[in-house]
Amino acid sequence: MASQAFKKGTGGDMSLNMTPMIDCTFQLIIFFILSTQAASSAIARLNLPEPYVSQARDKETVGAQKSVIVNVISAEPDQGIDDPVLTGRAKCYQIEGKDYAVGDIDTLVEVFEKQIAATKGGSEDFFIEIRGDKKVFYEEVQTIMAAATRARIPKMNIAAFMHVKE
Amino acid sequence: MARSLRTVAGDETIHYMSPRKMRVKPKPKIQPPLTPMIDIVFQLLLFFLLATEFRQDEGVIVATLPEKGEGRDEAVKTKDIIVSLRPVGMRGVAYFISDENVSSVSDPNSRPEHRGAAAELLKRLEERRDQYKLDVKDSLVIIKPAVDVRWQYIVEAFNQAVRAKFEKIAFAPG
Repeated sequence: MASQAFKKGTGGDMSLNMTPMIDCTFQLIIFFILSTQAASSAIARLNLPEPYVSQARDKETVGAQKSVIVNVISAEPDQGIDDPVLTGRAKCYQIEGKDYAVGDIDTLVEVFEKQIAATKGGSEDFFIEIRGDKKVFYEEVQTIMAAATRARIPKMNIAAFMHVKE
Repeated sequence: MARSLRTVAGDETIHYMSPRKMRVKPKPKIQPPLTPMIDIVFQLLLFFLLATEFRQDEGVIVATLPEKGEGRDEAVKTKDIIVSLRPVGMRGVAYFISDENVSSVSDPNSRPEHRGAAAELLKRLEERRDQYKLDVKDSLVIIKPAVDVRWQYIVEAFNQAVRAKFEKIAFAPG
């Protein structure tokens, strides 16, 4: 009897309840929209130093609005065979998405001076932010410091990771 | 009269409904088409899921760039502390305070070794600060790395000097 009823079928509509799924999807989308930070041309992808008990503070709290970010991109590959020629070397300096040759101090001074001129208030409260890859040698970063000193920039920020997991 | 009575599902009571109300045609249900909206929502979700890359929090350590002459040997005063960094092998480092070896890192991938060396450097900086009763606002810590020392270690030395509460920290040319 039961199998006969099953064979006949009642013709009832089978539908999937979409409401909770749409709810979850919207929740996820809202989460992603709020947590996503658009990639900035000023910030290059590199391995920042991870100091022990990092004293790095949020940029907002430091108040360095007038600043130029200099990225020091490493020439050393992340993985693979060590190349002694590339060890510790920088590929280029990157400012506002534009590449500059390593060691070209005159061009750097020119760029810094242009940046200072473009902002109101002169160089007194102007910052230089060095975002150096942790693998590069001091020699490669030293040029930026020298250029900043020549451009009369008194303040410097060093980018590093905050809250490094131990 | 019989037409005016109707039963409600799950309720045994017979409810009265006026003939006029019964004549009124039920309003058609308006259902907006949800399919395209769900399509778009899924497209968005997929985009965010694939494009999102969670980044570690990045911050800055505030420093002051040295003026001409500052940080060089001739400008060093007795109350200043010189932290020298010298390379160990291709990837390691040795930290020195006034030419006295404090700690070293030989394996750059060893977190405990990094931690130990950094903690030792901090301890020695604090000892020196207390021993000579140095004023942290006035005393200068000069970080003097060799040219072939990795940036990671220089930032580490700088970070430990900030942790030791020194306010004037300068870099010397390598």
